[in-house]
Amino acid sequence: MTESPELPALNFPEPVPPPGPGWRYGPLFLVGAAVMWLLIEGLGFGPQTASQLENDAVALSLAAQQNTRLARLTEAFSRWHDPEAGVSIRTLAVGELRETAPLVTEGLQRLRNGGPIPSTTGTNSFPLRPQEDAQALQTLQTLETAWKPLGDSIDSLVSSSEMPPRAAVLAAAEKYQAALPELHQGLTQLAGDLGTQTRSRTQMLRWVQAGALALSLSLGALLWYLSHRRIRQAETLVEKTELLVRQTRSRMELNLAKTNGLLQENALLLATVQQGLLVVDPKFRIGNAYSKECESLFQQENLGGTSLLTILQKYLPEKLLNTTRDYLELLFNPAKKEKALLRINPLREIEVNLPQAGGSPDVRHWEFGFRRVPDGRKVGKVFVSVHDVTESVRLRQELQAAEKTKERQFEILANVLQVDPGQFREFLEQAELELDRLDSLPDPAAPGEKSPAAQRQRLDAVFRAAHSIKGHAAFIGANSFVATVHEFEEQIQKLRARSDWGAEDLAVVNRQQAALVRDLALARAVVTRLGTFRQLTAASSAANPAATPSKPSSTTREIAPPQSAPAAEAEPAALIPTLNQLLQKLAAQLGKQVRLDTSEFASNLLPERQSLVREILIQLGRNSLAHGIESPAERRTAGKPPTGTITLSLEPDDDTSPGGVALVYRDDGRGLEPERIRAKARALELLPPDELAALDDSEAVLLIFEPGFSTAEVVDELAGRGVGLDLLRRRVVDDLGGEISVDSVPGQFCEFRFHLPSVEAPHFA
Amino acid sequence: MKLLIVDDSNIIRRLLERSLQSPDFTEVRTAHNGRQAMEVFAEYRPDLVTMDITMPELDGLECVSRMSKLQPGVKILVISALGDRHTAVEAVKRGAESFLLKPITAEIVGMAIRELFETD
Repeated sequence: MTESPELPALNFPEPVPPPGPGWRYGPLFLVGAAVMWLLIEGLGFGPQTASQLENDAVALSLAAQQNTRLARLTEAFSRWHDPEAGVSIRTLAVGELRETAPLVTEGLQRLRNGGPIPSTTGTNSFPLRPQEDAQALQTLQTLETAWKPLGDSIDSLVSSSEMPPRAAVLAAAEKYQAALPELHQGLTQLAGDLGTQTRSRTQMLRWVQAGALALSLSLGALLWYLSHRRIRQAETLVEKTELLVRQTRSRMELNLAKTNGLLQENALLLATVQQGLLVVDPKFRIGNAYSKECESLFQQENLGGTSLLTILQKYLPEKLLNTTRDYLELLFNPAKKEKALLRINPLREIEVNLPQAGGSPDVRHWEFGFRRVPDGRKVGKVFVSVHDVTESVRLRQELQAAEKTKERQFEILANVLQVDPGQFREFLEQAELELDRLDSLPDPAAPGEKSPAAQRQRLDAVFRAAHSIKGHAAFIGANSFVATVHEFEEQIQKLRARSDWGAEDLAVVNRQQAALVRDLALARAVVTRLGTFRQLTAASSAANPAATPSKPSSTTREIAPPQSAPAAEAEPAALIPTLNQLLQKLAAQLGKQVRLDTSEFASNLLPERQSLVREILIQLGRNSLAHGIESPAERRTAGKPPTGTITLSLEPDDDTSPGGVALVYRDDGRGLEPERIRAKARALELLPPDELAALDDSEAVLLIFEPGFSTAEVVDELAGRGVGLDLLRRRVVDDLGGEISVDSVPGQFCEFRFHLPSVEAPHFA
Repeated sequence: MKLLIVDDSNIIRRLLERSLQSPDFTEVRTAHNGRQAMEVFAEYRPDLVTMDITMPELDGLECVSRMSKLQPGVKILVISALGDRHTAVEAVKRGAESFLLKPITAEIVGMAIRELFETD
């Protein structure tokens, strides 16, 4: 086939689905959240805490500055305790008081309320936040309460531009000295508070750092875990994919193997199937894939691409080829129904003649089958099968032939039951002998024997044999053979009328002859079986005479001779009654009357030469009734009794040869008429006219022994072939070396005298 | 559906008429030769025709040709005693739908007609 065979559907496993969106983005979301948190904490909390720490440091520094400022105030007051101190020193001290005291006030305020704190370098300031810690605020409250009177008293001392009185200064100094420990303690307390605050903040920052670290570590771990997990998943996916690929590949290999197997099986099928299988396209061209059998059927190789019609052209008659073309066109016409078309297949059991190398063509029977191969709505191709059905046709024909044989057997059986079995057996032997004799003749179909003369000789011989067999059959009443042999004779007669014959004509004769041989064999089988049956019947009737009627029925009247002597001739005495029967039958058919006189017939001389005598008597008897003996009316007119008489005599005739006999046959009919015989011979061109004219009457009557002479107007089963006397002359004179003489008086009688020598060693030419 | 039965044999015509009695056929007419068949056909315009081949005046094959030309798509079932390999193919080629070989029975004809109205 040109089409690839249909492969089994591949069944791949379902691919592993990719992880869903939740699964895919979940970890990332977690990581993102963690990063965000870190950012918020790192960028928000961290710096905030750091700035708070810085704030604390600034506050601590400010608190420390307060100590320094208190120390400067103490120094300034101490200048006034020195009574020796000059004005300038005291002025400086006042200045110091004036400058420092506000700073302390301000410092304490800043510590509590916040505000810009100039850096030590003075280039920028730090925005101190208001104090929030309750402890520190309390401490600051205490400090401010303690400082307030001191600050106020110092302010009043230094508010005027004049030098304050020393006593006032000393009084203030005393108050200051008194308050100083409390201030120092407050400041120390404040420093402690601020330190505690800073420490707690630092601690917190440390925690945050530790937390961030831990978080970073956890995040890293999480990332590692996630990535590891993703890698594992990817690896699993890869493994699964590899497995899938492997499975798919093995599946594909399996499928490929299957496909190859299918293709191989297809090829094997096409190579070995005992049927022509092929596909034709819409142009009737044969596809490249066809069964090997096609080549042997069509006796041609490489059919691919060749039109089926081109091939069939060699085997089909033109009309059938045209019908086949029409039929194929209809098959490719999708408008026509396939079912209807299959019913009208013209190539059903067709007979084809296959040319044979150097021989007659081989007749075969082919059965074609057709099926459409649809292609969408069109008919893409047509599948054609060709089958050699010769055997089944032959079997059917054989069956029919067997059926016919059975019918024939029955016909023969019915016939045999009506006639004398011994005579029937003898008829069969004689007929077989006649046909065997034909085999010794050269076969006109053989090369070198094709001359018209050889062919005519053969036809004549077959004709004579058939004629003789027919006569014998009619004589004993073997009617089952008379009709068939008569038909055969007719056919040969038609051929004899022609001057040249084709091989087929002679083949037909040969076939018919073979058929006659088979028919005789069939009859012999029937007779033999019947003989056995009759013996059994006879035996049983002998053993049990009471059970059988004393007079045997007509069908078993003539008991066959024992099987040990099947070839024995019929009883000599039976010849005369049988001849009489034949004569009466013929006479009745022709509307004549005849009587047989055998008073001079010595039956005891018969056995030796019965078949020849019988042949002579049949032939002459037929001739007498056909030509010699007149109708009763005619006879009365001629003054004769209406019933004609045939007289037979058989007596020893040792004069001519020892053991010979003389057979005389005489009828009282119209006798031989030399003029009619001459006229007939002239018409048949048996002799040149001058020779014919030269014959006298006694010579002219001998013309009736010439081959082909006949005076009967009607050819029928019983008489009038004109071969009879010709045949007798051959048998008596040519084969046996006997003699024939004729004596006749027109209007009175015709007598034939045969001298038959002893036939102890019959010799056939 | 209208049916036309064409056959020169009275017996076959009657057999077909009897065996094709069905509510599917609203009207049935017959013709006993080709010429008459064509006359009836032209006026009657049947949907289905059963057609004999060997008929006096005008043979069945010619009728098939003419009817198919006059009314493409008409379903013609040829019923003939001509069993040679050529007639059936020729009939289908000329436009017949299907072919039946005589002798026929009511069952065979019924089946063939059902087949005509089936799709392949």
